Amino acid sequence: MMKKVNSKYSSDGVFKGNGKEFGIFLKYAHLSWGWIAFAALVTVGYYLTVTRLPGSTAALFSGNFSDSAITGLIVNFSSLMVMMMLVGIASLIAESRSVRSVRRAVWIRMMGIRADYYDGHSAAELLSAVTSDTEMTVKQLIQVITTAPGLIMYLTQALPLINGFSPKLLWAVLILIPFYIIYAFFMGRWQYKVSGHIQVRIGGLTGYLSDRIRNLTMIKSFVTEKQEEEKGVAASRELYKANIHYSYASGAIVAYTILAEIVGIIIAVLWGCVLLRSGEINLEAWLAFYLFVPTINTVLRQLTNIWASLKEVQGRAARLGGMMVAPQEDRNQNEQEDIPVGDIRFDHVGFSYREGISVLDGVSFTVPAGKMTAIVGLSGSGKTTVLRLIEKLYTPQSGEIRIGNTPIDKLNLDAWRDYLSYVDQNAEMFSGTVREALTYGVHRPVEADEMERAAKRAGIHDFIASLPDTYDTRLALWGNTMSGGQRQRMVIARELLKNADILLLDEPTSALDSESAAKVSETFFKGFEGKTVIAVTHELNFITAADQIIVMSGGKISASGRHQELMHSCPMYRELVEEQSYQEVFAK
Amino acid sequence: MNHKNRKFILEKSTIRDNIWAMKGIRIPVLFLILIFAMAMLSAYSAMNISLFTGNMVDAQGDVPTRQLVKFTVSYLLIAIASAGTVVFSAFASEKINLGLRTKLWRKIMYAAQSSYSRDSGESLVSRVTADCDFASKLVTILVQMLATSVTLVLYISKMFSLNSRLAIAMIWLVPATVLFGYGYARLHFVIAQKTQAMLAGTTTYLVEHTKSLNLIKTSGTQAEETEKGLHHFDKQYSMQLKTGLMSIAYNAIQHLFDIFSLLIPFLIGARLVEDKIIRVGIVIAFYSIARNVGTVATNFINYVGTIRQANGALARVIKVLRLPDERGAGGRTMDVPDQDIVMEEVGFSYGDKPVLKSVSCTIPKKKVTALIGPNGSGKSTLFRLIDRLAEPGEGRICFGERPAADYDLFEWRRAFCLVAQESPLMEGTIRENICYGCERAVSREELEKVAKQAHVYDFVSRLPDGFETKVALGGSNFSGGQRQCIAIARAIMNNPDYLLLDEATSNLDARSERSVVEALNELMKGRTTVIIAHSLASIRNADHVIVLHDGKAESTGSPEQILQTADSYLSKVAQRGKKFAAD
Repeated sequence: MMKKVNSKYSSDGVFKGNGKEFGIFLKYAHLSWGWIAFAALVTVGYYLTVTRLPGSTAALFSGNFSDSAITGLIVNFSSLMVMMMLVGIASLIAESRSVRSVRRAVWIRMMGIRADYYDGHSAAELLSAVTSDTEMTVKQLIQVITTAPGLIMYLTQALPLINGFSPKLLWAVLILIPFYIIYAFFMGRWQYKVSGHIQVRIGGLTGYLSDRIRNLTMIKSFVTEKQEEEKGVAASRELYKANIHYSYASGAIVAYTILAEIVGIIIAVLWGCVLLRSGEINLEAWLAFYLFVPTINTVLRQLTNIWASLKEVQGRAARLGGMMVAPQEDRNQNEQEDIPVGDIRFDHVGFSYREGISVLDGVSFTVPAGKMTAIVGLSGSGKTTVLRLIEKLYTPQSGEIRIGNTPIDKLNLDAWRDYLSYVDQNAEMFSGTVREALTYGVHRPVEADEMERAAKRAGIHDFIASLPDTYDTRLALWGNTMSGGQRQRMVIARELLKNADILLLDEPTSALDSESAAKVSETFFKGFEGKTVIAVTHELNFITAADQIIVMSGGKISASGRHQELMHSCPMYRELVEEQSYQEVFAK
Repeated sequence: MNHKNRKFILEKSTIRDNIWAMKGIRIPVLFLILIFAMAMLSAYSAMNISLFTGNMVDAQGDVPTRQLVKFTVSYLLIAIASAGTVVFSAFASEKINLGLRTKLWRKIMYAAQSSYSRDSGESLVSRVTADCDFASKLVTILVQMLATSVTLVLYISKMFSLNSRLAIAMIWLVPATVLFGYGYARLHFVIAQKTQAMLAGTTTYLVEHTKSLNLIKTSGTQAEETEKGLHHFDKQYSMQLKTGLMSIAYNAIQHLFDIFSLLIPFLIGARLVEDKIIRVGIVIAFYSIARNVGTVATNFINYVGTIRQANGALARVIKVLRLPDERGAGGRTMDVPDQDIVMEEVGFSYGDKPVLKSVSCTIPKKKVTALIGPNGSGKSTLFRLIDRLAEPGEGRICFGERPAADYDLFEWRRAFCLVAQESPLMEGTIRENICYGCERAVSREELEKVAKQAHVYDFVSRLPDGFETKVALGGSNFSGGQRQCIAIARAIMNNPDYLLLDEATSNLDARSERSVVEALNELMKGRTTVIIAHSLASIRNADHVIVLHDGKAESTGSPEQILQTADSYLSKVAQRGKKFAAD
C-alpha cells in the first residue's frame, strides 16, 4: 500500500520548463547584473590566489624557512582571506538585490492577475513564488554564474603550472577527468534515483499517517486500532528499509569520492616519486603538485555539479517566468470613467468556468436601479457567478451585461469597481489596525468622527470602543479573532464609508446565527437605502422585503417576482423558504 | 499579530525522561560500537597520513616502499571508514527510529482522544515523522561526540609527543575555536529569532494577500498593495544583507584561526629547525595535524547543536507517550437486548468553555431520533459522548438502567456506528473503505448488495477499476454526496445496533441529495438511530425530536409539534418584510 505515489513527493520533482520561459524569466527578472559581474570577477580573483598557494606552501614544506618564504605565505593566506570576504560580500549583494527585483517583478504581475488564472493556481503556489521559489532560483542561478568562470580560470592557471613542473605530471591529472565524468553521469543519477525512491516512501508514510490521524475518531469508533497499528508499523518498516537502502547509496558515493581522490593523490605521490628519483623534477615542484591535486579534485567535481544545477535552475526559473507573463486584467483599454446611472441588464448571458460545464445558460433579467433584488436557488445554480460577472472578475462568453445603455466591458475597470461594493459571507479583511481595516479601499481621507458614525450605524462601535486601543487596535490575521458577526459589521462599516452606488451581497449573513443575521440585514436596509442592491441570499428578512426575487435553477431563471407571489406560484421557492425558516429557527 | 508573539520554544527533557522513552526499544549496541570504531580508524589513519607527509619531506621524496604502502592503506582505510560511518549510523539511528516510531504510533492508537483533540492533527503527524527522525539521532550523535572527544585527545597528545613547545604554543586555539563557534551558534540563534520576529509582519502580509487576492480586486486597491508589497521586499532585502554580513564576518574570523594554526608551527618551527631541535618533517606533520584538530573541533560544536535539537524532538515525543491510555479497563459485555440510552444531567467542557451544561433526555430504542440545534449547541459533542470517545465532565449516560461506563469500551464502540458529517474516506480502495472495521471476510455478492442499498453501486461500477479504485487524499476524487453514500455503505456493512448519524450540511446538489436520503432511510430501518438533522426532510422522517440549545435539551416532542414553531416564525418574518417593503 505504500507504493502509492504522493504527488507532492514525485520522484521527478524537477519542473520541465522550456527554454522560452527561461528566457522570459531573464528578460523580466532584472537581475542585478552589475553586482553579479563584480561577484564573478572577485571569484576569479579568489581562484587566482588559490592557484598561488601550493607554490608558496611547497617552499616551506621543502624546508625553506626563510623570512621571504614565510612572508609570502602570510601574504597569500591574508589575501585569500580578503578575497574570500570580497566574494562573500559581492555575492551577498548580488543575490539580495536580484532576489528583491525578482520578487518585485512577480508581485507587480500578481496584483493585476486575472481571476481565472488565480482559480487555477493555489494561494500556496503564489506565496511560494514570491518567497522560497524566488530565493532558491536566484541564489542557485547566481552561484552558477559567479563560480563557473572562477573554476575554469583555476584550471587554466593550474594546469599550465603543473605542465611547467613537468608535462608528465599533467598526464596524471588528465587521468582523473574520466572519474568525474562517471561520477556526474552515473553516481549522481543513481543517488538521485534512490533519493527519489525514499521521498516516495516518506510521502507514502506521511500520507498514511496524516490520513489516519485526521480520521482517528473513525478508527476509535470502528475499533480498528489493532489493524491500524499493524499497518502503521508496516509503513514504518518500509521507510526503514528505504532509509537503509539510501545509506548504502550515500556510503558508496562517499567511498567513491574519496577513492577518486586517493587515486589522484597516489598517482601524484608514486608518479612524483618516480620523476623525483629520475631527477626530472625537484622536491619543491613535487610538493607543489602534491598540494595541487586535492584542489583540482574539488574544482572538477564542482564543475560537473554546476552542469546538473544549471538544468535544475532552468526548470525553476521557467516556472517563475510563467508567473511573470501571467494573464493580466485589462486596465487601460476602456477609458470610459463616467459610470452611467440606470438599470443593470443581463442580455442572454452565457458563462462557464470550464469548457463543457455551463454555469449560466443565456440568462436575461433586469435589476432596477435604486431597488433591492434578491437571487435565490440551490447551490450550483449560478447565483454567485452573476455577481462575479457584474464585478468584472470574469467575462461572459456570450451575451452582454449593460448598465443603462452602456455595456459594462466598455467601462474603465478601476472606476467601475469603485462604483461597486462587494460583500461576501467570509467578511474578508486584512490584519492591521481597525482604522486601516475600515478605510480599506476607501480612496479619500476619512475623519475620525465620520468613521465613528459609520461604525455606530454598522453596530460595531461599542465593540471597537471596548478594544484596548479602540480604533488603533491591531487585528489578527484576516481579523480572525473577531466573531463572524463582528467581522461582517466591520465590513458593513467599511462599505458605508466607501459609499458605492451598487451593492453586491453574496450570502452576507449565512455565517451568522439568526439573531445577528436579522440585525445585520436590518443594518443593510437602513444603511444602503435608495441604492441598487443585488443580494444572493435565502435569509427571510431579505427575501420578504426584496422588491424583486429571481429564482435560479441550473444556470437559468425559473421564476421572478415578490415573496407573496412566488410563495403561491413557485413550488421550488416555497420549498426553499420552508427549509430556510427551519434553518433559522433551529439550526442557527 | 499572532506570528509576532509566537516564540520558538525549545522543549527540554531530563535524562531520566529520555531513558524512560527508550525503554522497550532495542539499542543496536553492535552498530554503535562500529560507529565508534570507524571514527577511531578514520582519526588514526588521518594522523598517519600527516606523519607520512612529514616523513616524505624529510626523505626528500625518497621514501621507503613500506611507507608508501602504509600511506596508501591509510587512505583506503579512510574511504572505508567514511562509507562505514554513513552506513552504520544509518543502521543505528534507523533501528532506534523504527522502534521509537512504532512505540509512538501504538500509543497514538490507544491514547484517550480527549487528551489531544485540541491539538491539531498536523502536529501529531510531525511527531511521528520529523520528530522521531531527529530524536532517534540522539544516541548515535552521543557516540559520535564521544569519538570526537577521544580523537581530540589523541591528536593533542600526538602534538605534544611531536614537540611540546609547539604544542603549548598552539593548544589555546582549540578552546578558542570551540568557544567562538559555540558563541556564534548562540548569537546566530538569537539573531535568527529576531529576524523571524521582524519578518513575521512580511510573512503575514504575503500569506494574507496571496490568499485574498479577490478582496484586493473588489476593493480596487491594487496600486496601494503593490507599493506595500515592494516595501516589504525592501525590508527582507536589508535583513538578508545584515544576516549575510554577519556570517561572512564569522567565516573571516574562523579563517583567521586557520591562519594562526598555519603561522604558529612555521614561525616557531622555523626557529626550532634552525636550532636543529627538530626536523622539517616534524613541523609539516605538526601543521597537518593541527589543521585536522580545527575540523574536529568544529564538528564537536555542530554535534552540540544537533543534540539540543534531538533532545527537543524527543521531549515532544515523550509528551505524547505520556498521554493517558484507553486500554485495560474491561467491563460488561454488550451482548444484551437493546435498551434506551438515557442522558442524566450530562455536562462537558473543552477547557474552560462549557459546551454541554446539563443535558437530560432519552433516546428511545429502535426509533429514529432527530437532534437539532444551532451551531455550537453541542450536538457533535453529545455524539462523541454517546460513542464514548470522551467522558462526560458531569452527570452520566445510562444504557437502560446501568451506567454506560460499566460496559467494555471497545465492545461499546463496536455496537455503535458513527457516521460523521464530513464523511471521511480513508486512504485505500473503495472496497477497503466500505469494508472498514468489518472483521469478517466479505464476499463479492455481499459487497455489491450493500453498495446497491447505499446507492454506491452505480457510480462505482462506472469507474474503470470499480471497487478497487483508489481514494485520493481526503477523498477528493469523489463528490460530497458520493463520499456520504460510501460512508453509509460502510455503516450498513458493519450492521451496528446503534447508529449515530451526522447529516451533511455541505452543498450536495439536488440529485445526489435525494439518493443520500434514500440510502439513509435504508440504513435507519429498524435500528436505534440518532441523527443530527440539517434538513427539513430528516426531521419529518424522525419519530422523535430533541432540540439542543445553550447546552441543554430545550424541548422534545414529535416532528409535527416541533415544526409548528418554524411555521409561526415564517409568518412573523413575512409580516415584518411586508411592512418594511411597504415603507
